[in-house]
Amino acid sequence: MVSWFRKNSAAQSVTATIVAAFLVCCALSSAIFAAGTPEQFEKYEIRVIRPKYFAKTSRLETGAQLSVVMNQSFIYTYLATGLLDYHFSEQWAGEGAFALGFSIDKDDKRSLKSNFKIQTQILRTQYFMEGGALYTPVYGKYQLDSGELIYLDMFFSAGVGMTGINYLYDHCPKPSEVGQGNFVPNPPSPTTKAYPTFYTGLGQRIFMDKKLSLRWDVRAHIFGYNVADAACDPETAAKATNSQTNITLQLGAGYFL
Amino acid sequence: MRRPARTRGLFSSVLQNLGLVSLGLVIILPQPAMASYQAAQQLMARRDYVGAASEYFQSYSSPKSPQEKIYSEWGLGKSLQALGFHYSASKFFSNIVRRGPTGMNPYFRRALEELGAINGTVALGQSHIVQLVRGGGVAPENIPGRARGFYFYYIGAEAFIQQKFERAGDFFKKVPSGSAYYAKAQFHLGVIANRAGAHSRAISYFEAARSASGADAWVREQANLNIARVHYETKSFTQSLQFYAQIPRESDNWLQAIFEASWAFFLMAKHNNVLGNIHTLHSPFFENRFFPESYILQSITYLRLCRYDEVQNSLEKFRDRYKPVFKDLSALLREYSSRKNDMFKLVYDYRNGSLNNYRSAWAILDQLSRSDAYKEPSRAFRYADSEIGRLNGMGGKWGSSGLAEDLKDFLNKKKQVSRSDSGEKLYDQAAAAFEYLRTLSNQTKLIQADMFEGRVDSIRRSLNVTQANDRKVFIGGLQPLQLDQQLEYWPFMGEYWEDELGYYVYNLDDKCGMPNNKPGNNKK
Repeated sequence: MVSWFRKNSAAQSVTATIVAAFLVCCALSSAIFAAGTPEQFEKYEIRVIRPKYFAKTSRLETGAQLSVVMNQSFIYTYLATGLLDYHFSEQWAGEGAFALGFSIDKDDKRSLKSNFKIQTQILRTQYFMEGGALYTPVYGKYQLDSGELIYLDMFFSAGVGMTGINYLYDHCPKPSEVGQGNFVPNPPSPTTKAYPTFYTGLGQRIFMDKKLSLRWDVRAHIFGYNVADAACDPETAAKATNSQTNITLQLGAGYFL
Repeated sequence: MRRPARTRGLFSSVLQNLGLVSLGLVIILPQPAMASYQAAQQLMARRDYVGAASEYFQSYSSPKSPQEKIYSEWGLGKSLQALGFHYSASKFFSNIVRRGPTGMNPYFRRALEELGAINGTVALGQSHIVQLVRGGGVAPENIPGRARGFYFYYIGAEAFIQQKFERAGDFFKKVPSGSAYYAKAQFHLGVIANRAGAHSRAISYFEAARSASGADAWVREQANLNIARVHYETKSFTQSLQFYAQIPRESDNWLQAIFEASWAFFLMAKHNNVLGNIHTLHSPFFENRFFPESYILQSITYLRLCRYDEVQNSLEKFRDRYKPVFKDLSALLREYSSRKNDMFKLVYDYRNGSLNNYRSAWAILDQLSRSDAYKEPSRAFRYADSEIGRLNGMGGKWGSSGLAEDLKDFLNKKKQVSRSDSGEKLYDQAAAAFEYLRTLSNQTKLIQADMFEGRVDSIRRSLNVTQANDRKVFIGGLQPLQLDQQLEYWPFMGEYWEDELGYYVYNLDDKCGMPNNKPGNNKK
C-alpha cells in the first residue's frame, strides 16, 4: 500500500506558494492609483479631494462566498462560507468566517483505486471557523473603455481558527479484502477532527454601489494535524504531527449595512 | 323683381336635372358621394380617424355652411390628435382659439384645453403660443380651468419678454398651483422679485418653483442657480455654494455653476478652490466650452497670491486661446449679418459634426447649441419632421383630399418660422459673445499694465475679498468639509479623469510676504 499523502503535501505547498505569489502580484498591479491621506499629497500642486465613494468606517459587512480548496490532487472541496466584518476604520477591520462543505473524489482517485489498487489518503476539509483582522492598504479605481469607473480595494487578512477534517478511512484495507493469513483490523469509523489553524490571505472588493461589493479572497489555511488520526490502526500508528496548507479561492459578495 | 312661376318651375327643374347629372358624375368619378361632415362623424364614431380626418378636411375646405366649417375644423383637430399628429392638430385648435370666445365659436374653451394638453406633450414653442394668446384680452371666466395655467403663463411670458414685469407678475400669479405651468410661473415671479431687489421673496419663489418642478429638470436647475445667485448678491457665499453644488454633473448648467461658484470662492478668499474649479473648466474635456472669463478670474486669483508669473501665464493663455476665436467669430458675424436665419443651420451643422469652418469659434457655437434659442426650435423641427415623415407614409389616404399637402405646408412653415426666430436670437447671442470677448480682452490689458506699472497693491485692494467671511474649509465639489468625513485624495499628475472633474483643489501658498517677489522678477 502506498501512501501519497506526504508527497502530495509537498506538491501542494509549492503550488500554494506559486498561486499565492501570482495573486498578490495581480492584486497589487490592479490598483491603478492609491488614494491616501492628505499628508501624502502635500507635494502635489493639484489634488482631487472629495468624499470617499465607498466609506467603510464603522460599518458592518456581511458576506457570502463559495470557497474552493485549490491545492488538492484527488478531491474537490467546496464550502459555503459566511463572513461578518466590522470596519473600525478605512484600513482596519475585524472578521469572523464560518465555512461548511463537502468533498467529491476526482477521477484520478477512482482510477488509481480501480486500475492500480492504490488507495490515496486524503484530508477532507469539512468546515473551518476563523476570526482575524483585515488590513486594507489599497483603494483604487479602474476605467473601462466605455468610460465607466470601477472602484475597488485590496486587503490582507490574517487570523486564527479551527479546521474540521473529515476522515473516512476509505484508504484502509478491510479485513475481507486481504488474503488469508494476513490480519488487518477493521478501519476506524468515519470521524471529524478539528485542528487549530492559522490563516493568511489577500482579497479584493469591487464596489458595485454604495452597499454592495463583489469580493474574492485567496487564503492559506495552515494547520497541524496528528498523523495518527488518519492511520488505519491508530493504536499502532506512530505519534507525529504534520502540517497541511489549504489554499482556498473564495468568490462571493459583501453587503455593507 | 318677382320671377314668373313658370320660369321658377323650369329653373328648379333644371337644378334638379343638374343635381342628377352631378350625382351621376359623382358615381362615375372617384369623388366623395356624400356630404363629408356626416361621413366624418360616422367614421369618427367608428374610430376610423384616418378616414374621419380626410372627410372633415373636405367639409372644412368646402363647407355647406359657416357652421359646418367650424364643426369640421374642430373634428379635424380631434381626429388628427387621436392619430398622434399633435403639431398638425394644433393648427386647427390654434385657429379656433385665435377667433376668441365669441358666440359663434363654441369650441374656444375646448380648443384652448387641447392646446394646453398638446403643449404638455410636444412643445409648441413659446413664439407660437405667445402669438396665440397675444394681448390676453379674454375674460378669465372664459378660460377653462384646465387651460388657465397654460393661458396665463404664456401671457405672463409675453409681458416678461417685453419687460413689463408688473403685468407679467400679475399673470404669473394667476397660474393655478395644480397646473403644469405653476413651477415655471413661480420661477419667473422669483426673477421679477429679484429684479425689484426683494431677495427673500425671490428665494421663496425659487424654492416654490423647485418644489413644484417635479420631473422638470430645467425649472429645478434654474431655480437652484438663481437661489445661488441671490445668495451671492447678498454675500451669503456659503449658502450660494450649497445651491451651486446641487446642479448635477450631467447637466448643461454644471460648468456654469462651477464657474459662478469660483467667483463665490474668490470673494471668500478660498483661492485654492477657485483655481481648482478653473482647472476643471480648462480641462481638455471642455475645450469647446466658452468660459473666457475664467482666465481673468485665474489671473486675479494668482495676483492675490502674489504669483506674478502665473498671472502673466494666465493672461497669455487667454490671448492664445481667444485671439483665434475672436477672429473667427468676427468673420462669422460678418458673413451671417445679412442672413441671420441661417444661423440655426450653422449651429445645427456644428452639433451634427458636419461643420468644418469657423473651427476656432466652435466654443461659441457650442454655447449657442446649449441655449433655449437653439433647443426649442430643434424640438419643433424634430416633431415637425416626424409628422411630415408620417404624412409621407400615409400614401393616397390623405393625398387625394389634399389634407396631406395642407398639413405638410403648415409643418414646413412652422419649421421656417422657428428657423427664422431662432436664427435672429442665435445671431444676437453670438454678437453678445463677441462683445464680451472684446471687454475681457481689454481687462487683460489693464491687469497686465497695472501689474507692471507697480500698481499691484491698488489692484489687490480693489479686489478686496472678505478674508474672514467664512472659516469653513471646502473640499472639491463645492462642498464644505464635514467633521469625521471620509475623504479620498488623488494627486493630479497631468492626467484628467472624468470622475475627478469638479473636485480639484490647489495647494498653493500666498507668496505676498516673500522678499524680492515682484512682477517680472521670476520670469522664466
